Amino acid sequence: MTALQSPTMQVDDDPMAFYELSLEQRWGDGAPLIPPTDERVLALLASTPYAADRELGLLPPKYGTLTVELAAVNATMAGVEPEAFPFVIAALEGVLSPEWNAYALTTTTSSVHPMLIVNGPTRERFGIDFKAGCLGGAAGRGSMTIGRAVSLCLRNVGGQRPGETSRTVFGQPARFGLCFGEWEERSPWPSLAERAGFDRAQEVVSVHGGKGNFPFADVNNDDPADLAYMIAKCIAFPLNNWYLEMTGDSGQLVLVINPIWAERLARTFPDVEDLQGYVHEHAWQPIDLFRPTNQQVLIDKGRVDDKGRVYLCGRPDQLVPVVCGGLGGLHGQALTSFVQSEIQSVEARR
Amino acid sequence: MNETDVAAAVEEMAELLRLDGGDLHLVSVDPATDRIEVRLDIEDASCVECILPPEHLRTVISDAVSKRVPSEFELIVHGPRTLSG
Amino acid sequence: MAPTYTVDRPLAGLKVGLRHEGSWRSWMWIVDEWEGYLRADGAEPVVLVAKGRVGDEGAETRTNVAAWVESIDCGISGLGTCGSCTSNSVLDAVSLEDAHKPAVVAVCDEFEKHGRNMATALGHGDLKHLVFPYPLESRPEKEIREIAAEYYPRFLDLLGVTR
Repeated sequence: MTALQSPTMQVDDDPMAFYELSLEQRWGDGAPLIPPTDERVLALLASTPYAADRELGLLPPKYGTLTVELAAVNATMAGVEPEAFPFVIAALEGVLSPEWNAYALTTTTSSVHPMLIVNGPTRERFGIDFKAGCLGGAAGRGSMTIGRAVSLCLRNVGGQRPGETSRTVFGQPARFGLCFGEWEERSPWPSLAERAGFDRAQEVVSVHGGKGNFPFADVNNDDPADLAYMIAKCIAFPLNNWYLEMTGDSGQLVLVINPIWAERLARTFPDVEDLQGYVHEHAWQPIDLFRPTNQQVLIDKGRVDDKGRVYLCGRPDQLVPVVCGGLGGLHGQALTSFVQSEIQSVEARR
Repeated sequence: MNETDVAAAVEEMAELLRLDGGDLHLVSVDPATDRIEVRLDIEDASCVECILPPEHLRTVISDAVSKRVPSEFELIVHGPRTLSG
Repeated sequence: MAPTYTVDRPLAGLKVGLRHEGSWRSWMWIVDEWEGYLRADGAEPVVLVAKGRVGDEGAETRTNVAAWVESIDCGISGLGTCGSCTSNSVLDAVSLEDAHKPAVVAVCDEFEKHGRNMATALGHGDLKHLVFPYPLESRPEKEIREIAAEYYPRFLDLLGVTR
């Protein structure tokens, strides 16, 4: 039997008592938490092949040592189902990857936060939403708790607190936790995990440093190429993080495409690379759109080509389609990029 | 999506259509894609005009299924007239 | 806590590092002014443009920072005028201090606390901070260059340059 190392406390056996203590002592996120009893924490630890005392890494901004046990404590409080705990570990491994750049992302004035995208055969089993309301409102247990567990680890182990160690101006709703799945069965293209080199049978979490949800809608374009063109112009909005950078060569934007649009787009773009290429080709703004001060900065950074175009990003593969959402069609979303971070895809190990 | 519920809804509609010599058959239910395919058979219909116009028939079939299947689904109706949408 | 260092000698003959990210025009104007002042004082400015932190660009940046640290006697890393740029400015200043060289991080006052928090998190709580008014970026060039003149002696004082 694993011996837990974390300090313990006695709390009144009343859900409100624990909740109020979490608010008073500031290790909650403002919403009610599940008390992490030994039994509950051990149940989560039983579902990972990692030892409880294994160090996953040092979590910024305060470089707290994140162990598997501490992850389990926070995941218990978040309400994670024991067998879903490997998703939490995989997500944290992604966050701790140097290329995800937690050092910058946990401290920036930006709203960026880990956004978790899940692939694999157990999405439905664990309540990881990928159909209607998957970005909020579908209320699957996995979707509501896995992302929350990661956020609690950032808060309680990494010490991330807005206005204190994090300079985030607004935060965003995803800072409570965002975790959704890809509707692989309705995607005409290989899944995000498959494109990252995984097998369809593997459970994979991809961690994207996303600044927020940017929704767009179209009711007019039957022509898939026209729809893709409009998407390209939407995502190249002028006050975009990519336009603040010296180059557009880092980072990704996740293009969330509903299944109806995906089917339509695939008629013209049967290979996902074709879609990415087309959207990339048209994701630019004319330099004249920008105000003089912005124009000069872009010119000085060498971001304007000989046609006066300012391209959003350097390569088509930086625009990452993920198919999910309801069957109402009409809408897409961009999970916009912080830029100085690369999506990390990690297998959930059992 | 519960296949039994879908089958029951389709059978309800089929009973109505049989009164006019038509029929409705469940072709497939795919819970992975939330697609339901049915086939409308009106070859033996004694009164073709009694069978609802395509756009209404699709809505009626969809409503019948929705009563038993609360979540979203895509209904594909195969038949002599254009009914898929 | 890691130790800090001072130059303890006159400026002439020193190689002084000036690090910017190519993002903040205000800081690039200040760096431009200081390059002239340093040369006039007999020192050699060595400018580093620290670009992206991930991907191929990140690998290149890490190589360039290491080479910059190796090539200079002391330096300043800036500008901390947002969350991540403060964190990255501190990171590169810490690299210099880890090499046992006098280091200063340039931050705007709104981000001074953040800079000190990050320096502490990295084990360099005593890292010297040169604190500019905030916001700097929206001011006209002439005003920025006047600020550069005003803050140059403060920079030298933090480095421990003797006159």
